[in-house]
Formats: sequence, structure tokens, C-alpha cells
Amino acid sequence: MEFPFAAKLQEALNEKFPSLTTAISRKGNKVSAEGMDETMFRAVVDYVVNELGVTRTHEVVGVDDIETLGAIYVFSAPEHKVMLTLKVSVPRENPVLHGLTNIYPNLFWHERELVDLFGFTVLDLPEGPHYPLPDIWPEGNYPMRKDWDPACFDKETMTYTPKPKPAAPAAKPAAKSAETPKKEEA
Amino acid sequence: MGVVIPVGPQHPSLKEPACFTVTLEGEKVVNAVVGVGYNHRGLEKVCESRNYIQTIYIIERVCGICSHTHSTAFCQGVEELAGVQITRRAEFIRVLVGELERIHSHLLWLGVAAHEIGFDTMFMYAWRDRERILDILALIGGNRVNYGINTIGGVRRDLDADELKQVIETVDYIEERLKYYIDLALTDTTLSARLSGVGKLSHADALRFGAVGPVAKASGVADDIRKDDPYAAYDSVPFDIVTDDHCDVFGRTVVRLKEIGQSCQMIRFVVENLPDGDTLVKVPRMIPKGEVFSRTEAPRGENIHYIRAGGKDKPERVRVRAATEANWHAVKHMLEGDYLADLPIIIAAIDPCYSCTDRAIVVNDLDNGSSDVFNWEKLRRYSVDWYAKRGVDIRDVRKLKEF
Repeated sequence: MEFPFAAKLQEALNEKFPSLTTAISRKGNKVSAEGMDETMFRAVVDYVVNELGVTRTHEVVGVDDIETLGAIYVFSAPEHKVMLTLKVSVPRENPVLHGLTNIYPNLFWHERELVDLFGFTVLDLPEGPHYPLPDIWPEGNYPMRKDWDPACFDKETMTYTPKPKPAAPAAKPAAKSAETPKKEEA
Repeated sequence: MGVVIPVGPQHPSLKEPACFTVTLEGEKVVNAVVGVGYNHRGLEKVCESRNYIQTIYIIERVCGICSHTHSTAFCQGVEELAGVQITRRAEFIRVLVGELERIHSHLLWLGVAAHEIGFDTMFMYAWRDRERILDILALIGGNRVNYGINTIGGVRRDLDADELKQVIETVDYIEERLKYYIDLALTDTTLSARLSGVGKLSHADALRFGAVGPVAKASGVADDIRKDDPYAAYDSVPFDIVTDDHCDVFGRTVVRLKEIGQSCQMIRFVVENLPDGDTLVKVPRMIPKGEVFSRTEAPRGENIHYIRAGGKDKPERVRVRAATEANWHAVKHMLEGDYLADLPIIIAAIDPCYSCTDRAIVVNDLDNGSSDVFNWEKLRRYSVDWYAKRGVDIRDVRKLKEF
């Protein structure tokens, strides 16, 4: 099937945001863009929503890229049946991003997931209870991060005890000096 | 000043945990807070420690009703990452099972919705007819809910001529019963009066809140992944997207009933045009690095699976956006302004999922410590006898062919 709007969308994004050209790809009716920081992400969202008619949102996927944390927002253009995914990456040490719940109320639970499961700080997100984790979930535990090991979590006490780091390998014995007497050859 | 009533999390109208904190002024709901997440099972984290084949079995258990649509989304996503094209016969079988699943899901909903409004005769009828579909699904896949048909590279079971004949006989029966249901929905004044104008969701709000499936279609949104982003054999199977403009629970009822009719036609087409060939192609255990969004049209609407592969035999990330998750957002809007008495049917009208039981259970006898495994026939017989001892004897009724 041909999806002329998908090609048009890719072209428009390339033209408007030349720095993203290598990060924009298209497959069938799916266009994706990644490699965006928070500022760029907001500019792209503003452009696609207001200028290109990509008005519908479906979900947000959190991902752990080790050095950064990512949030993939899934949009679509209802009239053209084209899907657009925009990935914003934020530093792992300070994962702050402006949420879109105030524009798209259906993203509320998805952005709450980013907070609970990945430890994002989502600005503009309305107050609410934990979701999907229980209210008694210990602070600072983000179970969908790659370094969070379920085996270290005690469900009875709700405590996370990191595994002790493996001891450094014992120092290798010093190289034998040249003076060490060699075994007598047989 | 309003009165605040928490409804749930235990049994807030359906047997599934969710809490609806509603503020009333008189009988009217002026504010509603939807609380979900009581049953988070951490399946996405589990998937990261299982290989792709093992993950199918996790994914199939995301939903206790539409298990096939989830495993289809996952398998076709992995197949896309692996660059594998499955056989046409396998694609047709995926459609066949998917549409049978849609019929059983909609009949299940019809029964639940009827029960919520006190129409228990309809509840009994709908669930009785649903059994015919479950029997066929058990024939095809060996189980009533988790059919285990899908695998990466195609389907695990083929259908022979006798099984296809039984599928058509069942579809004939369902189509006949459907005439009665549609006639009832469109002409019964009590049903219409009870459901019309309840749980209103305008076309604009359906888009704004991201509603999907019959909820959106009943507000005039003609979105259907089977047409918009065809998968399996849906590009070859003719059908119409059913929409309605009532924008209320009545409209959602009409859409689901008409969708059953569409599914019957599609199943008939699939059986008549089932291509020859194998049902499975080989797929490497190591899936190349990449990521994919895979979508399917579940009975409740659009499912989206995100799969990221890292070049190993386990997925790096799996994210499931089920259709019910999309529809929760509109519930708050639908509740506000309506009556408290309408709360159960409004919630039920989005058809939220709840788990079904398997056909075999283990019964432990606490007195002597023994245990016994019940297969389906034994469980059914036990049920019939249990009721017979208490004065409700349906054994004579069972002798009738029509039962």
C-alpha cells in the first residue's frame, strides 16, 4: 500500500528540522524520529500537531537506553491513517521532561508510568496516586530500569537490597624474577 | 456540598479491581476519579528475562478474553524484526481465530451488559451462544481462552476439512441467533429507553480522549486497524467498519452486535478461500537489533505492542498498550453528568477485560489431602450435578438438541 502522507510527513520534518534528518525514518505508514532533546521534542510536537494535522495520541513508551532515558510518544494523523513516533531522550541523572497530559488527557496514565516505572520527573503532570505501582512502593525504585533486578526486591518488606559488587579479582602474583632458579630440566 | 462515594476497588460492577470515586449532587455524578493499577503484574519486566518463544505465553495471558489478538501483535512484530514473511495459510488462520475471538468477546459483553441492566434472560442467551464459539476455539486450539495458536513464524495448528465444516455450522447458528439480538436491540423499547442517552461521548471527545474500538465507533470514529494498517490476511478479507452516531451505550450495543455479523461473514470467507500450504516457517532464535510498533484490532479496539530487539534471543523491551487502557480515559467524562444508577452499565459499556478461568482445575480435598484434576467434561458434569442436588435440574433440558 502507498501512504503519500507518510512521505510528505517525513519530507516536512526533514525540511523543518534539518539537524534531525538522519534520525527520521519511514516504513510503510509509520514515520519515526528520535535523537531529540526536550527542547527539540517540544518544537517538533508543536509543528506536527499545529501544522501537519498529526493530532491524535495513543501512548507513551518508556525505554532505558543506559546513558539516557527515553520516552517514545505515539501520534497519528486520523485522516491519513499514518502513525508518527517521536522519541525524546533525557539525561539519566536528571530525567525531566514537560508532559503532554495538559493537551492530551489520555496520556495521563502513560506519563504516570514514566514516573513510577522509570523515574522520570514529568512537569505539568497533574497530582495523582502511584500508577501502576502500589502506594507503599518504596521511593527511588524504578523497576523498568535495566539496573533494577527483581531478585533483589523483597516483596514482604518492600525493600530493595542491591547485590554486593563482586570482589575485585585478587592481585596477580608478581612476575617471577629472572633470578628465580629454573627447574632443572629433566 | 456533594457526597463522595467510593465504588470499588472490589467488584465495582465487574469482577475486576478498579476504584471509581464519584461525587454526587443528588443522584447526579458531578465528579469522577478513576483509580486503576490494582492488578499490575509486571509482565513487561518478565518478558525481558524470557526468550521470544517463552514471551508468547506471557503475552497471551495479558488478557483473559482476547488472548489471540495480543499474541498476534507480538508474533507479527517479532516476525517483522526478523524479516520473515509467514505463509498465506497461516495468515488466514490468524484471521479465522481472531474473528471467532471477536464474536465470543462481544457475546460475553452482551451478557454482562444485559446483566448490569437487569435483563438476565439476555445474559443467559448470550452466554449460552458464546459457549458454541468457545467449543469451536477449543476444537481448533485445544483450549477455550488461551488457544496457543500463534507462534513466531506462523500458527501451531492447522485445520482439517471436518474442523472447517464445524466452524461453518457454528457460524450458521450464530448468524441465526444474531438476527434475534439485533431485532431485540433495535425494536425493544425497554432496552432502548434504558441505554439511550446513557454514557454520552461525542465524536470530538472520543478523539480527544483517545477512545478506540466499539466505544469510538459508536461515536462515529471509523478507525479500525484491520483497514487502516492491515495485518495477517485482512487486506484480502472483505468487511465493513461498523459505526454508529448515537454516541451512547445504546450505540455501543448496536456496533458490537453488527460487528458479530461482520465477523461471521469474514469467517465464512476465510473458510471458503483458505489457501493451501504450510502453516509455519522457520525463524532464527536470535532476532536482529531493531524496534517495531505492531498493531492489531482487538474486540475492544486498537492494541499496540512495542518490541525492541537487541540481537539476542530475548527482547530488550516489550510494552503493551491494550485497548481497555485507551478507553479508561473517556470513562471519567462519560460518568460526569450522568446518574449514579447508570454507573455500572457505563463502565461495562467500554467492555473492560477480566480474566477467564481455564478449563482444567485442580481440586484439593482438605479432609484427606488428596487432589484431583478436572477436565472440561468432568467439570461440566460436576456443575450439572451440583445444581441438580439443589433443585435446578437441567439434565432433561440437555437432552434437547437445541440446548
